[in-house]
Amino acid sequence: MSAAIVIRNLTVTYDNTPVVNDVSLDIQPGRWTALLGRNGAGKSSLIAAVVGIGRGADAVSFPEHRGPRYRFCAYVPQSPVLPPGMTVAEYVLLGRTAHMGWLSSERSADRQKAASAIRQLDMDRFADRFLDELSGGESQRVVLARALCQDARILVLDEPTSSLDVGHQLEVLDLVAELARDQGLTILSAIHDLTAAARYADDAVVLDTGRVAAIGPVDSVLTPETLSRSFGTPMHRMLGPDGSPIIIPLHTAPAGASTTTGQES
Amino acid sequence: MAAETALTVAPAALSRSFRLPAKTLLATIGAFVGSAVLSLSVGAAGLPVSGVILELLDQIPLLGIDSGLTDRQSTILLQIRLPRVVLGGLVGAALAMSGAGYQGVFRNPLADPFNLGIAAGAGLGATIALAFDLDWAVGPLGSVQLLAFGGALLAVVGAMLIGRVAPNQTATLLLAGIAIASFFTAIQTLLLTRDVESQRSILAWLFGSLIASSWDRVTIVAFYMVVCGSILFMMRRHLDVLRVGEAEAATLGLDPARVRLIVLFAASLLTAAAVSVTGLIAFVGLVVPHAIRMLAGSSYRVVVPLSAFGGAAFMILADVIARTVIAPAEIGIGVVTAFIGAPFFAFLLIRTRAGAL
Repeated sequence: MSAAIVIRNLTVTYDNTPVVNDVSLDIQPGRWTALLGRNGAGKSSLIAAVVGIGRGADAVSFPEHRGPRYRFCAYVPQSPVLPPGMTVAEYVLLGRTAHMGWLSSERSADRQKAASAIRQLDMDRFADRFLDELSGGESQRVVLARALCQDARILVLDEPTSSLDVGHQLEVLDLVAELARDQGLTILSAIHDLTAAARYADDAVVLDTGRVAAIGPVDSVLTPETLSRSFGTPMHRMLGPDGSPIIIPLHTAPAGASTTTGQES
Repeated sequence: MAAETALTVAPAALSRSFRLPAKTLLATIGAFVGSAVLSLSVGAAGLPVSGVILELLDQIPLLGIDSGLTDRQSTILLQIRLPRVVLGGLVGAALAMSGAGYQGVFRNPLADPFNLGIAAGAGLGATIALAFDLDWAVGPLGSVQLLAFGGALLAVVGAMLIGRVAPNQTATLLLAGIAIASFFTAIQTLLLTRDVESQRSILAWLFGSLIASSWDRVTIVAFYMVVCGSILFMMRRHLDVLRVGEAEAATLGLDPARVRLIVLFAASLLTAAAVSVTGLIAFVGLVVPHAIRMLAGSSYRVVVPLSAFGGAAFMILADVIARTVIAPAEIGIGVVTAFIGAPFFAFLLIRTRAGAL
């Protein structure tokens, strides 16, 4: 099967310092790939190149698709801009921009798409609400609805849950997982939370100082050895009560100085 | 099956969002027509409102109506008051639409048509013409208008050239405009202090006036209004997309740089044409789009077209006040727009939640 996203020799340089250094990798279609690494490892630059808003966009290709990438690839930013005074319906409909002519306006087919995206994300009763009245979890839900309305086959998420509390983090990730499963979407998501990555992702890519440190199925990548090396801090992997893996950093400092599941940012 | 249900339920919420709110549309058009009739009737030679309306209807081809106005009254109406009202309306519409465009592109509620140094450029051009008694004309435009227009465009081009150092930072463009404005204002102040004799006429121009309105000038502003106004109107959906920021807009398939260039070009040209004919009229471009937002919602599909009517009404009313309060003398219309615009704006701000900006 050909890859959904092909990155070849991607290098992104700021002030003569490469933040992404000659990265080549394939993202498999219909799977969830987690992009891991410390702050400054190059995750956001790689994401920006994939969605076409940063440098190095030319190093990324999509063999399964034709035409400009916004027609099939949607971006869910870390903190999406939610214009005050704009309604949920208006916002979701913005997703149709990708498929509209330069001077045309939305047709009823576009409105249908927006309506069904809103419906799929169970946001019907919010359709008339203003974006500035939504909670954090609801906001990410609306952004996902916009991505669906964009007819995206590939969702690229940049730390989509980092501004949410734990409960809403799980809610949003569950939702992405459900969409990915139901619609066969390809997911590429930068993510801080290693336990969440282990639980939701199929594949994982670990970036370290702009290079690929590890790549493969999550089980083979999210090992204490690989993670300890890439994150520069010892990691421990254990099983939670439901049998799913939990990955926690171990403090090198005094024993017993306990840690939480959330990877410190 | 989901799509079928969606057919019946959700599109209602969706289609309603973008339709022009009928009430506000009627209210702004009503304000525009009302202020126009008021302005045509009020003045040194009082004209009866009914006569004004009938005489205007009489101008429609094939319609022969006896308005009851004398020839003298008819001339006052058609050659003095009407061009003034039309010009005022056009300039108000131009400034308000441009303001909406600037606010959209810069995603900044403080943006107004004078952002990129346009006011300072036009002011410097007019000051040069007046201070050096330049006395030439091209068609209906004298040296003051021509140099004001040139100065305004020079300022915008300068700001854009400087702003290119950081092509993706609209803030840099705004700062470049501020630098240009300060520089031009400094030269202008220098000329003003040097040349005491022309200070009075320069100041009068700077505060704006519709006193020299004529059909020739109406034609000029109308031309720019048709061309640039249409462009701004066509960009209203793009301005809505741009509200999510340039990066996200790009991932949605919009070319932010292209939209920005087109809107700034159209808005700047329109503003330059307007102020070169009437002088600097402050506050219209800033206040009117916000007032429309507070009354009718923040979508540019609503704000851009309604700003045109709202701006026209506001300007015509301001002109009525400018030429009546100390009649037979006139005060600068820019003084009036700020004097009534600022409190009105403050009122709207207090009444509406701040988030609506």
